[in-house]
Amino acid sequence: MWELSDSLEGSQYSRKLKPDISRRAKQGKSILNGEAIEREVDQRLGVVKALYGDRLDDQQLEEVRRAVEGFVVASRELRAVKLDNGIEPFSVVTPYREDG
Amino acid sequence: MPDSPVFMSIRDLGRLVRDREVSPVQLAEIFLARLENLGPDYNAVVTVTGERAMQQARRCEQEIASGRYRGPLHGIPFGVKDLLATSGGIPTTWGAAPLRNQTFDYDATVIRKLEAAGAVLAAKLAMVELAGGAGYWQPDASFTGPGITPWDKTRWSGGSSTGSGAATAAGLVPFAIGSETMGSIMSPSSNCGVTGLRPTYGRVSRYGAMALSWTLDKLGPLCLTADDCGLVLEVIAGPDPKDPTTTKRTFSYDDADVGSRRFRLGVLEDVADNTDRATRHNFERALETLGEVAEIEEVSFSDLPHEAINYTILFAEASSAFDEIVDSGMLGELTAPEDRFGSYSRVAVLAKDYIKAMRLRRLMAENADEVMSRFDALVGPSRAGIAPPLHQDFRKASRGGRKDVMLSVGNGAGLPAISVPSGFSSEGLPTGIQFMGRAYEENAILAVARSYQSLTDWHQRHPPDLLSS
Repeated sequence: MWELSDSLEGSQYSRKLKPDISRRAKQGKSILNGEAIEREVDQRLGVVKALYGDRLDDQQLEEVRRAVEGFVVASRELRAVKLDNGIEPFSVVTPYREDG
Repeated sequence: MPDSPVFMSIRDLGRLVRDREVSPVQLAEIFLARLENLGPDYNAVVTVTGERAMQQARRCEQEIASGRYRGPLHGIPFGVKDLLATSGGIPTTWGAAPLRNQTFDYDATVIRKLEAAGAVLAAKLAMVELAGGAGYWQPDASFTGPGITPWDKTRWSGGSSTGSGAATAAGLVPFAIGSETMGSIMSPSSNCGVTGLRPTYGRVSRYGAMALSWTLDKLGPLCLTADDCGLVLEVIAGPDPKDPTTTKRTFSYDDADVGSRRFRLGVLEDVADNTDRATRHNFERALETLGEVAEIEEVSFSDLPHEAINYTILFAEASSAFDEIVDSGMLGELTAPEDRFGSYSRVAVLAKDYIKAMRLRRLMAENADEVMSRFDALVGPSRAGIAPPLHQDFRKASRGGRKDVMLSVGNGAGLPAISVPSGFSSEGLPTGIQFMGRAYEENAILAVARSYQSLTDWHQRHPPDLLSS
C-alpha cells in the first residue's frame, strides 16, 4: 500500500533541512542542531529502547535514531501551523447501533 | 477465437465471451498457463489459484451457454494483491515470509464482488512485505523476490503492488487489484506501463484487506486501459456494512464517448521539477497532446506541511496496525534487512502530533477541494522517474528534496487518481502521467484518461518479448 521512495524517515527529511544540516546527515552525524531538539530525540528514542532495545544492535539503533529525528522534524513542521481551537480532526465518529 | 486474447482489453474480451467466440474455460487455461510459466520471470505471483479458477470458469461457461450473461467481467480472469483474504485454504501472505502459511476462512469483499460479476480469480499476486509498512529501502523486500517490470528484467516493477503491475503488464491476467496508501497503485502502474486507478477513499470496501493505515488505505484496479478501470470500478465500488468507511454514494461508470468533449485541467507549478529527463520530457509532450482537448491552467495548493501530515498519520496508524506483529518478534524473519527493525521507531510518534496531523488534514482536504472544484482533473507525472535498478537504494536516489504534492494531497485528502502510460525513456522504460480528481469524481478523471488514450497509443504498447510468448 505504500512506496517508500520519499519517506519521512531518515535521509529524506534531512534533504529538506538547511544545507549545513544536510551535510551533517551525509557525514553520518545527527541531522539536527539545538540542545532542545537533541534532547527530544533522545527522550523519544528512550521509549524505543525501553520497549525494543534488546532487539536492536548498535547499527540498527542508529538507523532508528535517524527515523526518530525525522519524527521530531515533522513535529516541528506540524506545530509551526497554528490552529483555532475549533478545528477538529479529519475523522468522523458515528455512534454505533447494530440495527443501523 | 482470435489469435490470442492476451493483451486484449476487458471490454474486447468481454464481447468475445458474450458472443461465445471465446469461452471462460479457454481464457482461464490460457492465463493460468501464463501465470505458471511467466510469473516467476517477474516475481509476480505468490499463488496460482488454478482449482478455484477452473471451477469458476466452468460455472461461467454453463451460465453463458444458458443465456445468463452477467456483464463485461463475466468469465474474465483476474489477480489480486496478496493482502486480500481468500477462503478455501488459499494462503494470504501479505508478502511476508513469516506469514506464508496464513489463511482466512472468508473472502475479501472485493473478491466476492468480482466473482459475483463472473470474474475468475486466477492468482494471488506478489507485493512488498506488509505493503511496505515496515519501511523498506530497496526493491528486494518480499519473500517472493523483488518485483520486476516486464519491460526490463533488471528494473523494479514499482510497489508495493508489485505483482499487480507486473502481471497486468506481462499479460498474465487481463486485470488485477492493487492497493494504495501512499503511491502503491501509481508507482507500479507507471513502472510497468499499465493504467491504474486509485479510487476515492471509501469508494471500495477494504473488508478482508490487510490494514496498514485505516484512514489512508484504498483498493483499486490495474488494467490495460482507462475504460477497463471504469468497468472494474463499477463492480467493486459501493457501500459495505463490513467496512464502515465505505461511502453510501453509488458509482455508475459513465462510459459515454468523450469525442469532442473539452476538459479543464490544472497543473501544479513546479510539478515536474526534479523528475528525470524522460519523465519530464514525456510529461511536457503529454501536456501538448492534452492541449488539443483541454484548457490547462497553472494552480497551487496552500502552503501546508503536506508530507509531514501524511507520514505522521501513516506511521502512527501503522504502529498500531502492526502492533501484534512487532511484539511477536516476527519482524526478524522479514526479507529486507531494514524491515527487521524499521517499525520499532514508530512508537516515538507522539499522539499529539498524530491528532495535529489529522486536524491539518482537514485544512488540506478543504483547500484541495476548493482548488479542484474548478477542474476536471489535475495532471502531473505519476512518479519522479523511470523504474529504478533492482539494487537501487531509494534513499540514495534523491530527487533534490522533491516534494510530491500530488501524492501527499491526493492520498491525504482521499482523492481519486488514474495513472496512464505517457511514453518511454531512451532505455525503453515506460513513464506515466496521472490525472487526479475531486473526491467521488472518478468519472471525470476516467473521461480525461480515455480522451488522452484516444489521442495516444502508449497504452497499446507491450513488452516486445512477451508479444510472441
